[in-house]
This record gives sequence, C-alpha cells and structure tokens, in this order.
Amino acid sequence: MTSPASIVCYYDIVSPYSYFGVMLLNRYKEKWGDKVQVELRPMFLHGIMTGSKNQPPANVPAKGTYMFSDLNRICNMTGIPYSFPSQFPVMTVHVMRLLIVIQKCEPALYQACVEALYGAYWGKGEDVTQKEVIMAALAPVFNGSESKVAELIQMAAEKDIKQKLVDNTNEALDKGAFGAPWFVVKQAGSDEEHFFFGSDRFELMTNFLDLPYYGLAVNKSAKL
Amino acid sequence: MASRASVVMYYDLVSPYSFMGFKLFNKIRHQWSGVDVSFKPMLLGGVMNAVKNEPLFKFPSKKNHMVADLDRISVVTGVPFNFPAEFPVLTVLPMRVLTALQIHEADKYEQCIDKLFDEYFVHGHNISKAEVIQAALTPIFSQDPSPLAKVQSYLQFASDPQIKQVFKENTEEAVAKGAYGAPTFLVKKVGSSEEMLFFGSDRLEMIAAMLGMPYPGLINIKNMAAGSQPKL
Repeated sequence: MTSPASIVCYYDIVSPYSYFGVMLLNRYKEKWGDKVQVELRPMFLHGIMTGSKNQPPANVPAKGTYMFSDLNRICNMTGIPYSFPSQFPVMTVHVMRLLIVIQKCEPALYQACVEALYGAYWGKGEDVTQKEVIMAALAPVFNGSESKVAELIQMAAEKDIKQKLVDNTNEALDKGAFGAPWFVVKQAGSDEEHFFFGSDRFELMTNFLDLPYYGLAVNKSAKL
Repeated sequence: MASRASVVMYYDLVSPYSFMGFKLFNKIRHQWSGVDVSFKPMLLGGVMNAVKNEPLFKFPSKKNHMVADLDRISVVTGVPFNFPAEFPVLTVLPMRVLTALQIHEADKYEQCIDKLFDEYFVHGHNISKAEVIQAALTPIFSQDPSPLAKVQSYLQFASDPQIKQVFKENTEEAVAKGAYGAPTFLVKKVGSSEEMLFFGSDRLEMIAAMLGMPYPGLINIKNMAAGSQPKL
C-alpha cells in the first residue's frame, strides 16, 4: 500500500503568517481526510533566523507596513479572526516547549491547543507569554482543569523537552528553513521531501499533491 | 461617473518573481473586463537601496527555495522557466529601453516586455547586453521599414536624459507608494482612489477577489492562451 501524501508544518506562535498557515491547513485538512497526513511541528523561529542569518521582515520598515495591510486582507478574505497583538514580538520559547509537551503527552488535544494559543495571540491579540493568558486559553481544552495545564507547563521545563525544540528547529534549518511557516511535503508513495515557504503556497502545494485547492475564501461567493 | 478599476504592475527584468508574476498576471487579466492594466518599469536595485532591503539571492537558503518554487510553478502552470546561469545581471539598459518603448511604441510595449523576460528567464541570455536586446526586439518590429535601425535607435534613446528621468521617477514613485521589492502591484477598485499595494507573484487570487474578477487557478493556466499576442 502506498504511503499517503504528507505535510509537516513547522510553526512558531509568534509568527502571523504561521497563524494563517496553520489555520488554513487545519481547514483544508478536514476536506482532505486520510489522503494527507498532516503534522504541526513546533519550532523556534528566532533560532531559524539566527541559523539562516535572516532577519524578521519588520526589520525593513516598508515590509512591516506592508505586512499590516496584507494580514488584514488575509483576515477579510479567509474569515480567520485576527487582531494584531498588543505585544509583538514576544519570546515564545516557553510556549513552544509547552506545545511540544502537549504534542507528546496529549496528542488528541494537541491541535485544539495549538488553535487555542494562536486564537489568544493572533485572534484576540493577547500576550500569549503571560501565564494567565495561557491558562485561560488552554484550561477549556482540558475540561476546565487548570491543574492539568499547570502540570503540562511544569513538564515543559524538562531537559528532554527543551532539547526537542532545539532538535525540531535544527531539523527545519537542515531542511532549508529561513522563516515560518515552513512546510515539508511528500507526495503519495514517495519519500522525497519538497519544501514550501509561507502561508501563500497552498494552491501550489495542493496542485503538487494532486489535491483540489479550496481557495482562500470561506465561501466562494465571498467578496472583499 | 465612477473611476475604472486598475492594476499597475511595477517590474524589473532582473527579478525572477517579476517574470513569473508578469506571465501569470497577463494570462489571468485577459479574462477580465473593465480593469485598466499597465506595467511600469522600475529599478529593483534602486528600490532595495532606498528602503534598505536586501535582495533575496543574497541568502543561500532563500535563493534555493526561490528556484525550487519557480520550477514548481512552471510545472503546474506550463510557463517555461529556466533559472539563468548568469544571475543577477544589470538591467538598467533594457529597463530604460522599455521605458522608452512604453512612451513611444505603446502597442508593442507588452510584447517587448514578454520577449525580454523570455530572453533571460527561458533562454538564459544576458539581457544587459545591447546585442542581446537588439536580437530579441528586432523581430517585433518586422512590420517597420527598418526594424533593426528602429531597435538600435531605442537602444541609443535609452541614454536620453528624459528617458533616464522617467525611469528614475517610476522607481521613486514605487518607493513612495510602499514598494520594497518586485513585482509590486498597485490596485484600485472601481470608483475608489485608494491604491492597495500587493507584493509578489502570489497574491493574484486576492487581487482578483478584490476586483470581483475571475481567478482561473494556477492549474488551469496551462490551457489558457496569453491574450491575443502573436508568438515570436
């Protein structure tokens, strides 16, 4: 039996384009069913920038200005909630370690946690590095259990978890990453890796994987 | 009466994404009506310096991704593409020639852009060289009494202070409007004076949606003829 197509999305909560990339990927994934295996893999964007000697786009003022209008338009077109955070950028190393713990120990709830944390930072614009914000976002995913979330936060400080974030980040760098989101894609029945950068490569990616492209709009007749 | 919708694409022949953006946009826009389209020559190097940006190709991992990305777009859309061995080249001369052609040979201008883009990004010829530009453009003026003389006159005219000034002003205008790279699309909806800036060759679905115009999708571009331009 041939292996299904696969998409690994390397993401960091700090990255707005990772936000839209992950939310769109999750939306499309529902329609693809078991034709594609999808994994959201936590990485540390700051480490990617350092490792590839790149700079965040906003370091060039004109790019930063453009990014604001681009993100607004993506929100309008896709219907994905968006609010530029009060604090940007933030140091997300602890949040990404927490997501590694959740991916490892609570895989069934992992996607919901990714979306909850993204929803807090990029959906509502709250500082996702603050414990209260993390708690408010994640407790509902665990049936209101704040102690469960506190336990996961504790585990995120462990050595092997810290190492895993470093390993994921180095892995992305080895696979050519210079920013986020970074997609590593395999066609069905093939082990060869192909790399796509950005939240704006889904049309190309689906063409490449012989899947239908569902577009950016929530419904086809939506006008901007 | 409401002003018409419009798209102005700022481009530089040196830019691989300008090549692909031009090719894809040109196929898509021929399905549109009521949208004024124009292509403005600008100097990408000038834009980069003005906004303190760095070209993509200076970062090895970005360059690798760009080449793989464009190769894939080429496969999906059927637009031929070969990353040139000599890259980058200084495109001031062909861009000034195009500046002159936009003013004085309006009906042949877009064909000339297309031809020069193909010379570089399909055939790998060094378009900074006058003889390459001459060989590429002369067939486009085959209806003219002296096609070669005409093209040579535009090569000369490229050094005219007025042409240099227009080209410089295009670049400054792009920067003033917020451009930091190529291609840059300035889009106006019908009846609106607001110019919306879109960067890159990968915002065509959004631009079409903004204008309420059809977007056929990359995979269908293979089956679309590029307007009514004769092939040269």
